[in-house]
Amino acid sequence: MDNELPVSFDDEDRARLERLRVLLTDGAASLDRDGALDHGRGLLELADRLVEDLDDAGLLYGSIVEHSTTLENELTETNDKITQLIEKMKRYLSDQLYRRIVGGQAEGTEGSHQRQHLSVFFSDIVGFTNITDTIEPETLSHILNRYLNEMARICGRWGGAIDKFIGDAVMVYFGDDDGLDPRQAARACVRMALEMLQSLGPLRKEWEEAGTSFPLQIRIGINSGFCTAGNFGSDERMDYTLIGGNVNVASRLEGQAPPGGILVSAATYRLVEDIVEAEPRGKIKVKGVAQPIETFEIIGHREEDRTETEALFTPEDEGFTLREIRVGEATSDVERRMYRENLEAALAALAKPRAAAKTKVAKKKASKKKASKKKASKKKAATKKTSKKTSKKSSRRR
Amino acid sequence: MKIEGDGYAIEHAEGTTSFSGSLRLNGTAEYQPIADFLDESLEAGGDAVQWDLSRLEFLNSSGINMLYKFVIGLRKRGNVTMKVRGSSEIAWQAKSLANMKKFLPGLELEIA
Repeated sequence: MDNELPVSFDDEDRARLERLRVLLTDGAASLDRDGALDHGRGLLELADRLVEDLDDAGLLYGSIVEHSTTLENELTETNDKITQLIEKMKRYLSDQLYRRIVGGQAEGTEGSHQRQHLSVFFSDIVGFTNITDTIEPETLSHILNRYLNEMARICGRWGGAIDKFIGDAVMVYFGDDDGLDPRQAARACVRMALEMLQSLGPLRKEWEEAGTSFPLQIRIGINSGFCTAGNFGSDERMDYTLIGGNVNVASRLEGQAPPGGILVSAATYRLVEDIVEAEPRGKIKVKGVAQPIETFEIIGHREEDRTETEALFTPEDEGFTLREIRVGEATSDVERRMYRENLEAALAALAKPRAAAKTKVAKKKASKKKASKKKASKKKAATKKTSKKTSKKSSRRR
Repeated sequence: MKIEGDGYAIEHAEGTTSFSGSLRLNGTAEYQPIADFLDESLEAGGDAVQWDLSRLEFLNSSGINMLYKFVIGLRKRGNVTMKVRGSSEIAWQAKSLANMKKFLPGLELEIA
C-alpha cells in the first residue's frame, strides 16, 4: 500500500522479464519444452495481474479526480457565499470594523482597545421626530436613505470612517487608522461638514416633493481629542466603536448647534483656524467633563481654502459648470455664504473676455499646479485619499 | 482501538470502524499511520469490514486515495465482505463512496 499507484510489480517479476530477454537474444535452443511452458505461464500471469492493476489505477485516477472536483466545486460555492456575506456585512458595519474583520484583526476580546487622537463628528436632522409622524413609512425610508447615502458619499470622499447611523443621526470619525495626524483629521472633518451642508439643496427639493412639512436642515458638532476605540459589548455581541468624554463633547456640540450650522470645540478650532472662518459661541458644560467647553461656529471656508470643497462651480477649459443651487427659508447662513462664493466665481468667469479668460485660466492653472506640488511634498505622510485629492485640486480653479 | 489527530478521530469498536471530523493530512506519507490502523482493524475484525463515515465531514484527495487503495487491497485478498455507511448531508460522500463499488463490486453501501 505504500506505492502511489496500486500496481504490484516486484523483483521476481523483473527477473522473469530479464530471463525472457536473455532467451530471445540467445535463442530458445537451450530451453526444453516444459521450461518454455512454465516460463510462458508465468509471463501470462504477470500480464493478467498488470492488466488488473492498470484497470484499478485508471479507476483510482478517475475516482480521485471526481472526488477532487466535488471538493473544489464545494469550495468555490462556499467562497461565493462568503464573498456575498462580506458584501452584505459591509453595509451593516462601520468601515473600521469591516476592515478589521476582513483583514482578520478582529479578535472580539475585551483587551483590544486603543487610545487614539480623533476628530469626532455628529450630525442629525432638525425636527426629524416630527417628520416621522407626518409622512408614510415608505416615503420616509426613501428620503432618509437618499440623505444618508449622500452623507456617506461625502464622508467617503474625505476618507472618514462612519461609526454608525442612529436613525437620522450620523457619527463619523477621522484619525490614526486612516493615517491622518490630528491636524489633517480635523481639517478633513470640517471640510466634509461644509460639503455636507452645501449638498443639502437638491435633497431639500426631494423632501418637499415627498410631502414633508418640515424643511431638511441639519446640525453638526465636531470635537477633537483622545478617545478610546475598541470592542465594547457583551460576550455574545460586540461593537467596534468609540467611547470617552471627547465623544460626548462632540455629541453635545451637535445638540447645541444652530439649524444648518456647525459647532466645534476650541480643540478642533485650533487645528483648523487657518482654513475656516468662525465665530466664538461661548462655553457649554458637558456632563462628566470637568471644564466648560469653549465653542466656535464655523461660518465658512477662508478664501484660500474654498477650492477644497467639491464646488458647485467647476471651471473647465472652455467655460464652467454650475450645479443646481436652491435657496429657500431653510437655507442656512453657512450654505448661503458658500452659494454666494460659487456664484461670484461663476460671474467672474462670465465677465472675462473669452480669449483673455482663457489666458488667465491657463496662467492660474500653472501657478495652482506649482502651489499644489509644494503642498503635496509637504504632505507625504498623508493618506492615499488625501493625495488623490491634492492631484484633483491641481486641476481645479475657482 | 483509536487513532486521532488534528480535527479527526477514527475508532474501531465492535467490528465497525467509525470516522469523524475532518481529514486533511498531506500526502501518502502522512496518511500511512491511518492506513496501518485500518490494516490492524482488518486483522482484528476477521472477514467482515464495516466502515461508518457518516460523521466524516471532509476528506481530501490523499485521504480518499488511501481509502480506495484499502478497498482494492480487500478485493485482491478475497473472501472479505465490506459495508460502508455514509451521510446524504455531506456533499462529497454520495459520489465518492459510490465509486468504492468500482473497486469492490460486492461492497454494500448505505447513504442515510
